Amino acid sequence: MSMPLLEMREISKGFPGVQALKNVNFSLSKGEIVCLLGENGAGKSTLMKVLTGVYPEYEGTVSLNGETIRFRNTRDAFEKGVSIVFQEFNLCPNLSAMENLFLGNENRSLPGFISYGATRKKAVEAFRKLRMEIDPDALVKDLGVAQQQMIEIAKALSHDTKILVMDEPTAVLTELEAKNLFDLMRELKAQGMAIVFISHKLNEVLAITDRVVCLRDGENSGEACTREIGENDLVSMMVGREIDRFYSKRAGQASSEVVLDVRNLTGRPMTRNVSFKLHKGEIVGLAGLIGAGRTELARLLIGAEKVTDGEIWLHGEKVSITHPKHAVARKIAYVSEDRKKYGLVLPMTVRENTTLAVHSRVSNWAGFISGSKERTLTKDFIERLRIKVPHAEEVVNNLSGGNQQKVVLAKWLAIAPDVLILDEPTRGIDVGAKAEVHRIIADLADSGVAILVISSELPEILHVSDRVLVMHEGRMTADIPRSEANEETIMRAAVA
Amino acid sequence: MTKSIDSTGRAGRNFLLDLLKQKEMGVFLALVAIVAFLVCKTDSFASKDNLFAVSRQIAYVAIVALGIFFVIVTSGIDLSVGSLVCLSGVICALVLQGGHHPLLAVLAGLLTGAVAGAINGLLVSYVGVTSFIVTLGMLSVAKGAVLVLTHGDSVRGSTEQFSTFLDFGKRTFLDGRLSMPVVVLLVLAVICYIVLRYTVFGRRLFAVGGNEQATELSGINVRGIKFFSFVIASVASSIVGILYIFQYNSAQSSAGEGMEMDAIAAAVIGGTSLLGGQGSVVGILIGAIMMGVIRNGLVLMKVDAYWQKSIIGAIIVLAAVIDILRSKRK
Amino acid sequence: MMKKAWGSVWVSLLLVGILGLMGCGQKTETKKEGANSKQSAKQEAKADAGKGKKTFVMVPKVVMPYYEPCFEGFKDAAAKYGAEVEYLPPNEMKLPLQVKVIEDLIARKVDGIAISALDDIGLKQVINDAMAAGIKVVTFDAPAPSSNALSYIGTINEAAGAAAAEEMIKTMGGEGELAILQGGLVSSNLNQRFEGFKKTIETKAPNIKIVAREDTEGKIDTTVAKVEALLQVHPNLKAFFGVSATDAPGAAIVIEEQKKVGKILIGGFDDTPDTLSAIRKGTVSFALAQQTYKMGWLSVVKLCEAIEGKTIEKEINTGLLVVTKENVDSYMSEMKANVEKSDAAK
Repeated sequence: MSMPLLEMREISKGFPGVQALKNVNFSLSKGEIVCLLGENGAGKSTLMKVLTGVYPEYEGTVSLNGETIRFRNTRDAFEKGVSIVFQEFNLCPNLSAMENLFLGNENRSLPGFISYGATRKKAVEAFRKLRMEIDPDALVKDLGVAQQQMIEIAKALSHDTKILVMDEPTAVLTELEAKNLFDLMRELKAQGMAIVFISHKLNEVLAITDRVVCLRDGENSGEACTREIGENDLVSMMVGREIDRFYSKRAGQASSEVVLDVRNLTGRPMTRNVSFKLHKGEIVGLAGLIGAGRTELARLLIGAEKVTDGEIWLHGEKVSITHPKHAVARKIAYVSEDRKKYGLVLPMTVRENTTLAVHSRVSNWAGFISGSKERTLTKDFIERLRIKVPHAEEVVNNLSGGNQQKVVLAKWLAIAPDVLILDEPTRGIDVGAKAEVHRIIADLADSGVAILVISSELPEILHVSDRVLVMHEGRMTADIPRSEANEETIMRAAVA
Repeated sequence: MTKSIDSTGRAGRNFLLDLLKQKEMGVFLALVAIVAFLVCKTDSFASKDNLFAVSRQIAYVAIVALGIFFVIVTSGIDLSVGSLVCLSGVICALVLQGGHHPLLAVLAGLLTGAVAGAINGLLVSYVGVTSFIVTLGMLSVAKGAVLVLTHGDSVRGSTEQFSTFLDFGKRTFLDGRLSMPVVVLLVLAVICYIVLRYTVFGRRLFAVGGNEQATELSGINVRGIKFFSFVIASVASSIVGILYIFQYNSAQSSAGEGMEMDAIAAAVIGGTSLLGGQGSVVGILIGAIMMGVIRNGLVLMKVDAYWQKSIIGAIIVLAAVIDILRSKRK
Repeated sequence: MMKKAWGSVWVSLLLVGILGLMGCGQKTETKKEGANSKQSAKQEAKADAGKGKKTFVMVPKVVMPYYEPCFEGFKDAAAKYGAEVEYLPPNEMKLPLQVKVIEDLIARKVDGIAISALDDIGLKQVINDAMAAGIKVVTFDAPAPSSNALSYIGTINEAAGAAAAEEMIKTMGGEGELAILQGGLVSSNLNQRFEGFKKTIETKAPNIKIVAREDTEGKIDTTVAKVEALLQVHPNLKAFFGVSATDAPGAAIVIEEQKKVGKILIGGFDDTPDTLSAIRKGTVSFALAQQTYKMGWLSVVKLCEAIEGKTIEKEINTGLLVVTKENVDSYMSEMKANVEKSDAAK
């Protein structure tokens, strides 16, 4: 490798009360894809904000092509060739693709007037370069997430970009769309672009990057060539301790006793003729593309949507579930995919959230809540799930993503479920917490709970499941035993 | 949910510091300041007569505010409370004038509230119309009903039952310091406090306001909760409508007019968030006291009549602004 | 989702239905329902013309007991002069409602309208339209001077205030502290009354001091609260004067409760049932009753004269009657008798 394109040396950045970065070193060469790794709060975004001009005040030096520079603002950085694509898009949904592309950079014929002809031509060209078919006149709000991201990338590349920073780009993409993105990245790399890739998806990191730089608590905690390491190494760098197993090993095995028997289930909005069984102590993965109808199926099972045809059998008995309260009564638990929106009452405390589904357990005949029963129950779960809170009265809004997810789990485990449906249980939480959640899942299965895991992370599905169900457009397309399950077989069923 | 000091055995926490950090402390101190100011600047504020009168005025608003609190906590709003105060009073008085037993009259008044509240609740929870529109409609319906029943006149008492009724209601307590409405308020406040803090219903009320979808998915009957909150608000209004008769010796066709504004303002000043999920009984009381004291103070301080309305309006707007800023900070 | 949308449609229809019913229900004492369609309007117009009897309609500001004697006078005069009458008060004191009533009457081609104008400028157009369509329009109780209405038949507010002041001076014995209650500081008729009152007090009774003027917003709750507070601030207060109809009865409630009847005097305006009741009890010393019966009666007389082509006076001061304990039960019949007497004397 020749002289680095970018060298960040001894970068330190502090805020009132917290030192975000301490003497961090980071370098980048032309035609290189480097992963910036680290748990939430490790300092990745702060470092990138220093790089892209958001924080012009910092200690240490940044040099481009050997020349020391200090960006005054983001515009300055952009013009010198450093661009960033954020996780949350900054697009105007009511404007068209090309209007967004050139927002702030409009082609003007006369002062104040936008020349649409020239703009359209440029837009078509830009999208073509990214190998994306995007109608320049289509409104952003009508476009899919992957296409929106392409517009963001096109925006970022609209200047003579030398360094492209991508923050969790695959978080909202399907497997297929992620593949396309990686192909694009490889092409950009071949053209000499330097790319910083921030992601929590370890399999992707291993697949696409050349080098990994890891931060922990604001400092460098490891660096390696991707070729030479594996997943456990990545995890160790991030959490600072040896994790020999990211996915937990199960003590027992699934039994043959059928707990949940779904027969020809059809319902709103898109579930069609779905049939499957869950056995005691079994972990079944439910895979499929985004929009395949997995969450919709789950919501049907717990009574949040209307069943129009088919039957649900529980413990050999036909049941009718028309409201979540029936599901709770029948001990079916559903951990939704968006904990802030569907799982937690954010202004309430850990205690109040934990007992939200089990009021009858902690109250007396007159409806009075017993403070001591509540506290005992909550304390129990805080210990069992290792929820990191100073006390049970902490408002859940203040907790980290991982701990919030654990509180949601606590709530559902409190009903002592026979069936537990988990929808994207490790989305948006840091690696340490992810491992713990997997341990919890494994322990639950060992204790006899029938578990259905909906996940868009294939590695996760492959590692935890005894069986993999696949859905496509509201229908069940495959039931694959562990021995035959791999990316190919799953993908095939997901798109069929 | 706002909390008073919780005894979870956290070692070493400063009790005074906790007290000061309570959300209602800010308004409480403001109230103390205003009261102190009025006591110093006027001779009459702290007089027995004035306190009797002001406390009664405050009680009317506070009871309605407590009722409306149940609706606001679940992220709803009830604009019909003022006109239900009026209608319930009219119906109660009409029953008394019809020569029926006072208890029957009271029941009739309360039933008016219950039925109206049930209609509100049904339309909002089960049909899905937004509470603003439903209760606005109910406001007009109730007002219209009052007109039909009274033609704009008041319902004066002439029957024996009416007199018996008034005799009961005009009783005072604590050597003429506390009126019946104040006593009713204190009882209701205690009941509300206990229900909201210690019962399952209270907990679920706040949960619905905090995150309705999450609460429903957790197996709670959200529709039922919202339905009952409207019934409670309307019954509280009828209680006030009946209490007014004790003071006015009649059911007036303009009683309770515009009261929803004062009730909502009292709630917001006291820390209730209009977005739902937050608020406390103590806060409501402080808010209602603040509104009553300010209105009284403006007259005692001989503030020009033209300014008074603007000042009250400004305070209501200020309360709403502070509410938004407060929720943004979170 | 679908279910919710349908639900809203049903509810809207239901609410519209209920409100519509309420609206219809207000048209008391008349044979016809409110004519909302051109079709039935035309039919009614034909029927009216066919009968040869004139149709006069009284449109007060709102449903209120105050207007009932107005309509009584209107009805009695119509019986004498051979006309059909209707009474169409809006449900609420809202200008668009009153405008709509007039528009409907234009469509029905009635012969005459007597309206108590909610808003002078706001009604100018529709009153002129009615006049242009050949309908004779007079205003009563509240004028619309900007419009082409033929006459204003009612109380001249400034004079009314002055008359009230004379009575107040008598009641107070020419001296003492006085507090004024006004139900809203925006309406011109109330302000005119206040100005007339104030001027007279200032010129004729220098020993009477007006120590306060409070806005009671026309609401009983506010009136009572303000009176309670005023009694605290002004311990030497001798009397209250209520400028609008709801003020004196509100003050009476407080004075009665505090057992200060006779010690603190009250004078007011308008002869609402509550005020009359208080006068009987002695809590309120006097009330200035507008000659509502006369307003109604003269409206019919002048409308008939206008139809016959005679010119009528631009302004007719119907004057006031002082109602006290002495004449509280007889003043109304006296008023009616006076009106009929002067009418017969023509």
